Parts: sequence; structure tokens; C-alpha cells
Amino acid sequence: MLELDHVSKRLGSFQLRNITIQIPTGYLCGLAGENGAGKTSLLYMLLGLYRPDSGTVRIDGKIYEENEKEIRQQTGIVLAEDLLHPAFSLLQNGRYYGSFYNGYEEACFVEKLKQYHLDPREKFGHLSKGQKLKCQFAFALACHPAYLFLDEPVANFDPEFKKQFFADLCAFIGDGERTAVLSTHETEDLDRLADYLIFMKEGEAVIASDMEKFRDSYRIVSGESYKIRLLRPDVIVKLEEREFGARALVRHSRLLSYDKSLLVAYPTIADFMYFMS
Amino acid sequence: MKDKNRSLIKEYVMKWNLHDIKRVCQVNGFPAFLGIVMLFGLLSGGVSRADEEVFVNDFLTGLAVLLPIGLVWLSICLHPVKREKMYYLCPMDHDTRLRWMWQAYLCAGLIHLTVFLAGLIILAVLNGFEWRTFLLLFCNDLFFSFTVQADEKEDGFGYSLLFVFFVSVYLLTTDMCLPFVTGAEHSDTLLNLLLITAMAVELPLFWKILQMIRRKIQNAGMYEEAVVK
Repeated sequence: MLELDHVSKRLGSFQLRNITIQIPTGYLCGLAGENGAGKTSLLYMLLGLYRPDSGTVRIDGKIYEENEKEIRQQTGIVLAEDLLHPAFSLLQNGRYYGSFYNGYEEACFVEKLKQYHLDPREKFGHLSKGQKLKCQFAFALACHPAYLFLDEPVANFDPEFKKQFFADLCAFIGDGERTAVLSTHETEDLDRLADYLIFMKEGEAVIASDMEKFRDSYRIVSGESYKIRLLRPDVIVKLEEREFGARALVRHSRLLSYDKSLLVAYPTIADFMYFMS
Repeated sequence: MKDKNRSLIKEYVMKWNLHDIKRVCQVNGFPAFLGIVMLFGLLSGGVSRADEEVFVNDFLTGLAVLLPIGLVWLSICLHPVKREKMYYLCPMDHDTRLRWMWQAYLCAGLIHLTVFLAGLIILAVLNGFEWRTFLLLFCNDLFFSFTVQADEKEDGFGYSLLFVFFVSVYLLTTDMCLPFVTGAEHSDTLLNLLLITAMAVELPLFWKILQMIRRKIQNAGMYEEAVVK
């Protein structure tokens, strides 16, 4: 289980504020939010690159200050930047960085590279952005981690590889004993696949719950403005009025009843993002 | 970690690649430094002598001094204390990471010293062994071997200035020693004075630089300290 317990962190003028999250094992956790909301900072906290000013980050009950090596043996990482050595071939990179990991399997790495149409003898520095991310993903999988952290890789993948990527990601968490945290702006994929959602806004985790609970907690209500306004003001998160009617994000509960003429729908993450930004 | 697959030498050699050399040349102003070194070389009194045989000897002497300086400087630029992000993400605890960084620093320093010693041996073969010039050049090279590049943003203006001053003193004293090595200058008094002055200036400078290096390595153990701040 990944746990953040009342974690706060100041990073210059930006601050992560009082974040409490528990991501159960076996989940695909989506990390969404607009640019600068704190997604990468939160991921860096989970990766132990940033240490909290207050609060605790626990991975399987262990903390980085005491069990850094053990935790890192369990983590695979794909970050948006180049992590591997540019002058080394993919295979050399695998051998060098793989030597740190107990679980690294070269045959698995080579197989994944071939599956992703990458030549193991090619130098990492010669690859395109998308290919570099594919290679890092292959390396992360070849280390057989229990936790996979991915920072916005999807935007750089071609549509064909996206399918493969999500298939591999689902296979990764498929046994229910491994967890992946995926930060992305491609919220459609999260809607479809994520089990857990963290929505960041200005350094705060506005949503940190499983997708079911998220979908149960909100509704998108469309219709005539005055009919939406008839709802209790405290349940309307945001109302957007247009020339013909209005649309609102509403905090839903079973006790809440809607006028029959209103169109009520489950929110997508994109809808939520739209209203929260 | 399968430590048997990793070695300090391997990690040191890893950085000697075209990609990193190009980056260093673009970012760290290596060509500018090389230009300064060459300028110092040209100013050297020994090289200006006209006799052909003496000129060849002086040229080789200059090369035996300047080439190691160029190589070591490039190596210093290629091996900064702070490491790539992946290094902080690989399974290693903080103490092990710190230990590796210290060992890597010492390993690089010893390699630099070996390169300088090779140059000094060539000097001795070409010009004969004179203990005071050897001592001066050796101490100079020893200090320079264990230097790391200062970064104004990271280390502050004071230390950057100190570092530039140290490098200038190092180049100047090395250059001033060359005429004594080649025999173009014979004065014992001048050589003694040069030796004493060089040590009096360089020792405290190097002591301060060592403190900076200690702090840099200590900070480099943590990603946040090394990269973010």
C-alpha cells in the first residue's frame, strides 16, 4: 500500500498541502490535474526524491529514511525526462542500471524492447522522445517492481503503442499484487482504466479516492439555469451559464433529488477538471 | 545491489564519451579554459628559446605539463559531484550513495594524479630531476587533481571566485616553474621564493576548497539538496 499521511512540502513559492492518501495494492491510480497543480511533486514525494517537511510517506509500511534501498528495489520508474545514459546502448543501460536491481532480468528487457520495436544496440541518446519513454517503460518492467510510477508518458506515445502500453500496464497490475501510479493529462484513458483517482489542484489533493466513490460523489447536471439553481447552493461546486441553459458540477448524495427536466450524468475526469480549473 | 558488476573505474570511464564531452564543451567553457592554458604555455619563458634541439625539448616539456592539465580539467568537468537523477532512484541507501560519491571523488583524484605523475616522469627524463621543481609541480598537481568545479548558483559567488583564483594561481605557478625545469632559469633564490610563495598561497586556498568539496559531496547524497536547491 502507498500511504501519504498529512504530507506537506514547500518548494519555493509552491506548496503541497496536507495530503493524505492511501492507495491500496493492486490498483491503477490515476494522477490528474492541470499544469503546476503538483502532480510531479507528489510523484517525487512517493519516489523519495523530495522528503516531506511534515507528515510521512510510507511504501508497504516502510519509510525512505530507514528503508530506502528496500523500497527502491520495489519501484519501477518512467519519468518524462531522460533517465538513462545517452551514450550507452539500450542493452548497456539495462546492464548498468539493472545491476542495482535484484529483480532485473535482461532477457525480459530485450524481449520488451523487441516488442516495442526498439533495437537493443541503439544508443539511448539517438532515440526519439517516445522511444526513450518506451525504453524506460521496458526497463521498469524488466526490474519486476511491485510499484510502478509513471510521469506523463502517454502524451508522447503513438496511438498504436498507447494500446500496447495500457495492455502492459493492465497486465502489470493484473495479479492484484502490484500497483501503478500514472500521472497523465489523457484523462479518457484514466476514466476507462483507473481504479483510483488523485486529482490535484494548487498543491492539494481535491480528490483522493477510488473511481467508484468519485463517480458516486459528483454529477454533471445540464438544463435550465433556474432549475439548477433550485438545488441547495452548497451542493453546486460550479455552475456555468450559457445562452441556452446551464451546466453544473454538483456534489451528489442519495438524498439529493433533481428536477426531471434536468439531464444528470456521471462526470468524467475531464468534466471534473474543466469545472475545477 | 550486485556490487560485483559495478566498479569505480567503470563509472569513471563511463563519462568519457563524445556526448558528455560535447556537453561539457558547450556548458562548462572547456575551450575557453584550454585557450587560457595555451596562453600560459606561450608565455612560458622556456619555449621562446631559438636553438632547435632546445626548442624541441622545451616543446615536449610544455606538452608534458599542458596536456595533463587539459585532460584533468576535462575530467573534472566530466565528473561533477552531483549525479544524474537515475542515480538517486536506483536501489541504494543514503549512506551507500554517499560512500560511493566519496569513493568516486577520490578515485577521480587519484586518476588525475597518475596522469600528472606521468607528465612529471617525462619532465624528469627530458630535463633531469630537480627536487624543488618536482616538489612544486607535484604539490600543484596534487591540489588540482582533487579539485571539483565550483558552481556560482550552487556554491555562491565567494567560492566561485575562490575557485577561479585557485586555478589562476595554479596555472601561474606551474608556468613560472617551467623555466627552472628546462634550465632556462638557474637562480636558486628565485626558485626557493617561488616554492614558498606558491605553498603559502595555495595551501590555505586548497583547504577552503576542500571544505567546499566536503559540503558539496555531503549535499549530493540527497537529490533535493543536490539538484533542487
